[in-house]
Amino acid sequence: MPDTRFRAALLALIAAMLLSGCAPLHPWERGNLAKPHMALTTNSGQAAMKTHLEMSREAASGGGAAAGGGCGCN
Amino acid sequence: MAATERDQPPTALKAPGALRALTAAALALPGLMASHGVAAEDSNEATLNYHHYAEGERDLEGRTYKSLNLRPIEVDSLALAVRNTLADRWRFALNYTQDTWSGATPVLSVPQAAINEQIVSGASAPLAYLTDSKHRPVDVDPDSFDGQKFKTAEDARLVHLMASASPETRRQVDGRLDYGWDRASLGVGGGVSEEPDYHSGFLNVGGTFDFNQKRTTLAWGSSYTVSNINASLDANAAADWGAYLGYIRESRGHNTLFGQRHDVGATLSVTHIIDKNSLIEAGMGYTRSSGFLENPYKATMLAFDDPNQFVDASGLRTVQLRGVLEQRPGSRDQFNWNVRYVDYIAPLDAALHADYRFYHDDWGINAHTINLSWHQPLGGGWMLVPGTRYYSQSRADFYAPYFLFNQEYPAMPGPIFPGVPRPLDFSKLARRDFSSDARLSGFGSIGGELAVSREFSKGAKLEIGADYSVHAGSLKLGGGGEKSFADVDSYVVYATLAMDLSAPALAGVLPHADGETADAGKAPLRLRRAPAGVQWDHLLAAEGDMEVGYHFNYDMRGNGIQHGGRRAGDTEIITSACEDTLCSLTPRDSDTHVSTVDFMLGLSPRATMILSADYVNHDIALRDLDVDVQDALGIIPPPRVSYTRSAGGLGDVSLHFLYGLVEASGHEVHAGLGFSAPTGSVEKRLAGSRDFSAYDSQLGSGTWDFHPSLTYSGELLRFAWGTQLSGIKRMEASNDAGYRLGDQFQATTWGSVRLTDWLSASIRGQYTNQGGVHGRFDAHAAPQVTGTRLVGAETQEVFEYVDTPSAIYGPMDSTDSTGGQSWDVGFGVNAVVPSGLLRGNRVSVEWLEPVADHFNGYQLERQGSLQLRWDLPL
Repeated sequence: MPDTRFRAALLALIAAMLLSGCAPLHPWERGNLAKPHMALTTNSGQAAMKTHLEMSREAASGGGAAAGGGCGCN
Repeated sequence: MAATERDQPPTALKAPGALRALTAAALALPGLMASHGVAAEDSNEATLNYHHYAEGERDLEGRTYKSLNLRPIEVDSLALAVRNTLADRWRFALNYTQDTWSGATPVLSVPQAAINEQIVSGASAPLAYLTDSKHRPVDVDPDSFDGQKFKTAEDARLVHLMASASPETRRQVDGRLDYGWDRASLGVGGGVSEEPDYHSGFLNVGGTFDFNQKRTTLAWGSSYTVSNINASLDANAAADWGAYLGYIRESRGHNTLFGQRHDVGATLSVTHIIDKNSLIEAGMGYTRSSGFLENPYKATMLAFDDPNQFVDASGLRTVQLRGVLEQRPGSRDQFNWNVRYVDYIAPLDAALHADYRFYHDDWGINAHTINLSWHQPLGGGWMLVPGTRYYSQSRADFYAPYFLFNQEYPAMPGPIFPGVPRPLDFSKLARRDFSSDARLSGFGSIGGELAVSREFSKGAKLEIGADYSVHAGSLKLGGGGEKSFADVDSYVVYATLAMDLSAPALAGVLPHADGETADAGKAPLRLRRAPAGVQWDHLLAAEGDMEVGYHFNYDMRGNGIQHGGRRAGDTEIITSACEDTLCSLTPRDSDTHVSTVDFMLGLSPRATMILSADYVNHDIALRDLDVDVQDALGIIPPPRVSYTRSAGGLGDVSLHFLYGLVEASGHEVHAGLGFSAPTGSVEKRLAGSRDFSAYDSQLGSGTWDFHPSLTYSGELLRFAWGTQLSGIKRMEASNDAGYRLGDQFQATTWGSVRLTDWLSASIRGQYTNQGGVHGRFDAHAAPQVTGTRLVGAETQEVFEYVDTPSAIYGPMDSTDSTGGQSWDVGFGVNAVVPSGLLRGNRVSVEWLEPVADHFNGYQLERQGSLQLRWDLPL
């Protein structure tokens, strides 16, 4: 089952990142992380529109809790 | 105009500027506020988004889109979002989205051999195809019979059958409210999405929890969506509906399929700051969908190769075809696992974003998505973002381009009518579910994107981007994807304007060179501005001043057709409102929404430049005129009529210059000169037809236009007043569609009173003279019977392509029913936020109530218009 492999890989990744240093990161060390282009989603409006289009073109939609409506049936 | 003593901002705001600025900057750091530790999601901002998607033409095996009166699918979307802090620990988000879909998509796919057989046999739809003795589809040359056999050629091609849906607009409104503690947050949200055939409502709840000294954030969420489907089956009228008879009822004269679906989902994710230069998010999600999961507009072809059929000397076999509505399982379990990683590349000040998602569902689909993008600041507020996306999915267990059964056509018992396909007995089929919807096929897609953004001073950002992608069966990971008939390419262009709503407040506390605050006195001055429905009413105070504005105009019409100051009955409309023909349809009501974004730039204290762009949306609902009267007059109703006409998309773009002529104490006169470019489409057509949609449902004027204006404004104590004369002169004889809108003249006068430091109220009168349309829509070539000829013993009709005028179905299609004079009175309020994070934002609202009309021809009564304006100095 390929999905079991992926699940295992993901769990390993999560574990690795949780262990990757638990020392506090002081506010003055977070300057680079605060830059707008370091945000996980830099343009959320555009991302939402893209997601709605992908939903109407590809099968791998849903699966998330970000509910939205629309058929996308065309 | 000098600011009075009262106009000074509260002194408290001047105080600890540097401290406030530092606090705000610190608050923007990930981990210090809830919600994933992501800077952008925590800001107070308003964004406006325009998005245009278009597909390329598919390979239809020699037939062209033009010859079939089709256009590839296009989607025009507009979204408005506001995110803000309400009070200390409360945050809200409000979103409005609309998208308009038009064009043609595949309904089903068939072997090309069936199309060739249809042409040879002269049938109206593909009913069968032939195979050779090895069951391979073949084309037969009908003139090649040598007394024993036909000449055949193997033909393994597949082809889509396309259909145009009438353009439709979907509108979605949603919101969310969050409460934040020091280390956690909890939020609830919900919304509705409405389109003519699909109505959804959804609720969600979610939260975050920070731990590990706020280096790690755990986020969870769950959602519930209910959707009601009422889809007209006109486009699939020829398919067998047997499996859905219980779902189908007649609604407004159309056979309509009613269904309901439910989606329940949950997600869990962890965001972790790895070090001062990188962060990672890993998440998983589950959604269970149940109910009517089919796409009601997709059909699939079932093919029956009867093993006991008679086979002649040629060895040719006949495979009988029957189109049916697609059928999917009643439930679907969907799983997602995703990782997103962001790395700061210090030497270049750049950020690398790498995302991967794996998707699995119990319909047999596994999908991989990889996104990579590079965010490169270029200095001066510019940013360049190239990116790429690869997506691959395996096909659903019940997907095939068509389904072949080695059995006799399983007809229901019952009478046989010649020429009518017999209803299928689904219980005799070996499978229950089948779909030929391309989105369930195996394919891959690869795309590239490029975005450019510019951050202006004080928190305004404009981003423009485009992407191009290719969808192809051969791009599927591991091979085995769908054949090339389903390949298609597409592109997206978009623009986003993001405004940091808290920026003016920050700017206001930073001292100016002269010791004054940046926006001193601006709020009360802006309270004296003209009501929301008046454009180009003010100059900016100084060179280099900038302002951004958003104007929303919602016009409503309905309540019957008016003619000569009274209501016209159906018989009169049928006989008089369609020029030299008879009407069969009439508008029931119509809505127009126009969103305008303005950028203002002060060129000098006397001159201001304004760049504006419109996004336009029209919806007209139609009804049949009295059918008995139509019958009596012998009107043959048009074959397939859509009762809605929608269009949405970019309108005209304009550039205006305002110049101050007089500036005395308390009085100001300025002149405006503007030009608009024909960027809005004037060639919106009816679905599947070369006939144009109504003049009132095109998106622009189609001509270069001149917009002069003259504005006087005055003020004394708490009172302000003004008068404006404005006009539109079309500068071309006709546009690309063959006509020209009438010129317009407008005069308006208003008065307003300041009620408090931050609120004023206004009253206004307006006269409009709108000229009628000149010329008309271009004719198009259409086949017409021009005579008959004798072929053997049969008489056949002779067709010729002749120039045919665009059809006139009702008053909305007639140029005689355009333009007129109107008188309105407007009531408005105008508020400038005096303090807090939103300080400096101005919002004004006005309702325009029609007082009198004098229309040309037959037009819907005007029911009023809502005007909303928001602006903010930069």
